[in-house]
Amino acid sequence: MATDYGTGIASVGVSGGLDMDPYWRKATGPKVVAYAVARRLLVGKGSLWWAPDCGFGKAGLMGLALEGIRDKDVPTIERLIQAECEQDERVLGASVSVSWSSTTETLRVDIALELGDGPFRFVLLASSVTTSLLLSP
Amino acid sequence: MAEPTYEELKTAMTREEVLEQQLAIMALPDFNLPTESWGPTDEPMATLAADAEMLADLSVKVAGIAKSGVTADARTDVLTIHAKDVFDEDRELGVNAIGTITLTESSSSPQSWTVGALIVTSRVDPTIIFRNAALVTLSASSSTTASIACDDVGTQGNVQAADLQLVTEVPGVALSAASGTGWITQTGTDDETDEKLIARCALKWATLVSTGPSDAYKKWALDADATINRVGVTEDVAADQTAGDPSVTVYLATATGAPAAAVVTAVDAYIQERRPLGTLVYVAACGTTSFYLNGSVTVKASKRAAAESKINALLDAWFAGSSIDVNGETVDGLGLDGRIRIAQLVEIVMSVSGVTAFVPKKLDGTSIYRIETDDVTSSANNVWTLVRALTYVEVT
Repeated sequence: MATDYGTGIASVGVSGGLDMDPYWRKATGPKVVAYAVARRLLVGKGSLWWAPDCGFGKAGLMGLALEGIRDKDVPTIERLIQAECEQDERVLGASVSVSWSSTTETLRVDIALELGDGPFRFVLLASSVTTSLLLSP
Repeated sequence: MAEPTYEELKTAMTREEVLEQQLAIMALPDFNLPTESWGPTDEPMATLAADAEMLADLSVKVAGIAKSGVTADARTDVLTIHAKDVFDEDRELGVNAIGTITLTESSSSPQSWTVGALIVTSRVDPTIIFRNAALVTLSASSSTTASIACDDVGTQGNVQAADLQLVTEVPGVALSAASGTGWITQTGTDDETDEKLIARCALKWATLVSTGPSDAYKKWALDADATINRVGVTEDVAADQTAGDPSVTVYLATATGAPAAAVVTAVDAYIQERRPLGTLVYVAACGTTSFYLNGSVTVKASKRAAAESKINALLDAWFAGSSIDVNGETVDGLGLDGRIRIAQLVEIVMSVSGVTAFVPKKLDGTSIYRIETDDVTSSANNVWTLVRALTYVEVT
């Protein structure tokens, strides 16, 4: 029997971060978890007063993209992102790969979540002004 | 829904409390929403959080409106309006510090500063700014005095002369001033506190009768001088007034102890104009009595510094006669009744975060004050001067 991850509203990447699906389409299955984790990575830690421990860095991945990344910082960033993914209690484990394009100033984060029903992959692309979320089919 | 009580109305909800209530409502059988499974970044949480923020803000405003009608609970601007509207009492406004400095030029280069261009600040707190109120001209190799006024009203402008400095140093120009606070020509004072304004309002009715009850004398004394914060009144019904014995004596105290002679004189003149006919009134400064507080405070090591600072602040305010917040309850400052309740003293110290035990001891540093029986008393109409000798024991 498939694990029930709950039901949520799908997210779409827009200028400035992730927004609710304009048609309020529901999301179920592992995608719900992926949306939740992605949103978690796009807010700065401490920025949500109702969940002060939730979030990544000072201003989320977009803040990181704005500051830019040095190659030597990549392993540390990957570990921090992995730890934040695993804060969602539905995530059993996560593996993360980060790459930075200094040409386009875009951060690409490949995430493989280990869920109750197996792995689920998604990609977050973040620049200082926009975000895209690409989910596995 | 039942009409709210005043207690409910005056207690503002925090955004956390509002959010908790919203989630509880949405989880009720009528709605049956899976609130437990909503993650912190899920849309419902963001929507509810925004609502909670707005509703909490509204709750603060409702509480402010509710309290605006009750003298003891109203605060800040609302209290100012309430005091004027109901009691025809104005809040006593503070003044800014003004003083005179001397500028000396030694490099044969004359200087001048237009109004506001000569800026002096405190070395201790550079946010305290003074400016010249008139043109200052300094000839070569000479000295001149300049009057400077603090930008802000309040006691923070009563800066020590040694701490004054020019914001922009001018080569060859030195600043000097009469030592200590001797350079100050107008002492900075704070706006009247909410606590004192409330006390004056509460005493107002007593001034409307012709017989001169003790509250009337207290009100007049508080009105007469902004620094007076405690007043004691005694009556001697057997006084031989023809021989000059006063039938009423008014004792004055400030937050720092006995008031200066000039203040006593001013208050005396104010009261003599208002006293009932036939009553001989004597106005005097209160006496002072030292209270030696020994004893040990056991405190968590990680909170030692903050706890010691908080204990000092609470005790200083309490001894100065100010009300303090202890575990959410307001404890009145020490008055002129000549009594210190040891139970209250222990409660104040124990209320500080990190404190796990407190054993108050007497002057000899050995005998322990017992809560039930060892309240400290002195003559009435004396203020207490706190002499602290607490030791701190750190525990992990």
